[in-house]
Amino acid sequence: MSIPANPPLKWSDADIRAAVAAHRFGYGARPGELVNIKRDAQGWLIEQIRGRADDPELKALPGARDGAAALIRAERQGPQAFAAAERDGFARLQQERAAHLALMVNTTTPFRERLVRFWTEQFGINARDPRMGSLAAAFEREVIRPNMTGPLYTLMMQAIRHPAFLLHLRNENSMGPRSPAAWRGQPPRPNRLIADRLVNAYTLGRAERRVDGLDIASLAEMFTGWTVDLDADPPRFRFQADWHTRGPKRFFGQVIPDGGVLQGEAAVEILTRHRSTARRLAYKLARHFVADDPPQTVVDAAYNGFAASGFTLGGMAEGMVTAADSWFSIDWAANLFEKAARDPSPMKVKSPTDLVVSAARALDERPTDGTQLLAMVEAMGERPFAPPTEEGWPDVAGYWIDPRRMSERLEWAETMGAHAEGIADPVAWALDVMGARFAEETRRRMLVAPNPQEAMSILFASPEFQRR
Amino acid sequence: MSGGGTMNRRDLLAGLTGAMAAGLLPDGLAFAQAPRAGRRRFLLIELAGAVDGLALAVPFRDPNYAKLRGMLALPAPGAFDGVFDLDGEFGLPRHLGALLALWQAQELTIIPAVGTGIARPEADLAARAFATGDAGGPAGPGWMGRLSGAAGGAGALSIGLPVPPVLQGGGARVDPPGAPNPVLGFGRKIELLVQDDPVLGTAFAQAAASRQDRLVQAGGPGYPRGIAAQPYAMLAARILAREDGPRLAALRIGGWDSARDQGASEGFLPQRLALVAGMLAAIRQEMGSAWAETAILVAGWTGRKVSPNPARGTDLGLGQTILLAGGNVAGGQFAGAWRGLGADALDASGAIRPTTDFRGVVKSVLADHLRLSAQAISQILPAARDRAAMAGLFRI
Repeated sequence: MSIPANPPLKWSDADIRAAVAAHRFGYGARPGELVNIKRDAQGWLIEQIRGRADDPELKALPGARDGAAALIRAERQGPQAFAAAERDGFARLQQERAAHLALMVNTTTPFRERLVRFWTEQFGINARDPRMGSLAAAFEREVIRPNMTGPLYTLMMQAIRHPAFLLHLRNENSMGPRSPAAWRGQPPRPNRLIADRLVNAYTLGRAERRVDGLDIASLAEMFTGWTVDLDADPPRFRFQADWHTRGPKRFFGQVIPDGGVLQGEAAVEILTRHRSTARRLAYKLARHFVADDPPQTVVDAAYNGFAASGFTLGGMAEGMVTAADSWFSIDWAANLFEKAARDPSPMKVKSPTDLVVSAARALDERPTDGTQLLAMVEAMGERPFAPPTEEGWPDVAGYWIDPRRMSERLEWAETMGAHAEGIADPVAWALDVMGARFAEETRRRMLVAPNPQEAMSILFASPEFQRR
Repeated sequence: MSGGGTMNRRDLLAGLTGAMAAGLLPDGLAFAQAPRAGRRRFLLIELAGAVDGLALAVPFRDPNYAKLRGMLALPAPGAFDGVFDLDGEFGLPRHLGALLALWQAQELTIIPAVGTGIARPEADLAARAFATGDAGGPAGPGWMGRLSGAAGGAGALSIGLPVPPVLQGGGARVDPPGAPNPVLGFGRKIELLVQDDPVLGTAFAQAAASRQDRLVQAGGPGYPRGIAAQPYAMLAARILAREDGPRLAALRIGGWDSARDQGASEGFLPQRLALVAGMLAAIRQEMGSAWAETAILVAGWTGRKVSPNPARGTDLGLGQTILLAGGNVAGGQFAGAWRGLGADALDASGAIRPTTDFRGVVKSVLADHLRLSAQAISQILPAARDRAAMAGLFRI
């Protein structure tokens, strides 16, 4: 079983599925990789969900939480101390960003890495918040990475108790109005932000209209006293019992009895088991991996996988990859005059990270340092761990493609060709990497290119490479 | 890029490769007496166009900043997406964070309110003044070209073709071996590939249409722009770092037309500037020990007005902000006079009135960094004999 030097007249189903698995669900193929994936494309994905991550790059990094306590303490000392600590934090963040990009290129579990990135984005810990420093990366490594195939409840609890989450949502001073501290005369400092974000951004979403302002206020009170021990280095979660509002609380049609820290946990259980939460997350997952406007069958499959597996996110991902419609493909080899057969519009447009990582993989690079990759990603308008809005990146083509961004992508593609040194036969190379996705038009254009560099530039600029 | 240019490139390549291999390239600056000065490196990064200085360094403390800057204003330090506080007065946009390491190491000086001496902010006028050092004067040899010639024929290197005007008229060498080979008519070849794609094809067609009528502003055809400039910068770093290589080089980067949809923290100009920031950081890393002997001047032709125009961009103005980076730069400071954004600090058009003469900065590079004699400097910048070199920009 090997990839032929010339494309076959008709690709087999196994070939098509291998290309979809590597390019849509992973970060693109390396030379020689499709042959292995072809044996069982779906199994290759499911193994990654169930197995372990291949992420040695992160082990070499210093602790992602290091320096976080210093940063927050400096904030209290005044702007000058904070500015200095912020610069240190940013340097760590850059190191994390570069290491993560190198990891995406080198890993043998690219689908798993993509899932990590997706779930990290869902929680919107944003490095544009000056207090985050490298905490955004700490959150990814400590919360998402170990928990993102397990129960949603576990992930959510780990997330809420993480310093990045509590500090980002300004909950570290949250003191309730009917708490022992308030009774002693301290002015209460409730924080609705955490409740609003939990309901609207992470679980039910704004489409769920049965949650009203009273529910949000009540939920906010349940999280009073959930704070961060800043004297510990690295900082960690602490429940400050005398800041916590006493008494039972009503939430979403239920009464949660007085239980201190357990009240918040009970509310999280209600939220994570709710059907609207599952629907919304299944939709977002399908939109991220399959299409801007995902087929309902894929959303349903992800939803069912989640419910059937006892509300685990691994089950949701497995549900998605077992849906037949997740594997739709374009007939790239179709006759040049049958434009309709090659309409790529349902396919996702790659984000800059997708683009840069998949090109590095296609060139069979093994970076030890991702600094150059990071420069390319940032030049095309994506700053890892720092989405433009609190809701993350808009996960649709329209955000990544406009005339200027399209020009930038082509400039990038042209530049990337220079890395093709040592590739003697770029067409055979591209066929190996793209498999059933290699369009006949691109192949012909590469054949007539005067040198391998230009041929590879053409590949990187082609629609089948710009999409996944 | 024209076909002729590329033929040229190939010929030169063949010749230069031979010279390099034989070790025949002379030491960059044979004119220097002191052995230290002979190791000094200088790279000019010309941002070919008008660059909005307030997008580089943000006077967040100024009460007029948010008001005048409007939708282009960036949040103050500590706020979401707030700038990095550099000295309590100026901040660095978060997307330029790559420069923080240089600032921390005191290897970056920022000079706001710099002008080339021209009276009106017109692109052609500004480009000529930048290249010749003679505001309002006729076209002529560029100051880097004269510097290249003054150095006993050792020559400055143009990183990429065509040779920018600032390097013309001297003994400039062009296009070193290993320069990226731009693809002839790449856009044309790609157009046919992507035209049927509903999303990519439409964006491509619009991009091609808008490019045609804005060539001059964008720095002219042929020069690398955006991310395509990055390999050239890395090449410059590698060549300048060589013990036996040339010591002077210029790189011209196009694509600074921010008259429409400039972007504040997200979008066109932030991305372009982030690229330059990343470039400086990468050059520093690449140059190794040679970095200690290096100065890099990053400057545009002119600046832009403080307030955005109705097209969410900025129009041309006089005062710009320039950067000086390198191991020999006495950095971690703002140099020159800054008079804020009050009415008296702006000109009638609403742009920052220059307080520092660009030629004073260049003179400082020539005198204090490259250690040229006063006589040599007056030959390089004949139109600026009466301008003093700016003091305190370099370590030794």
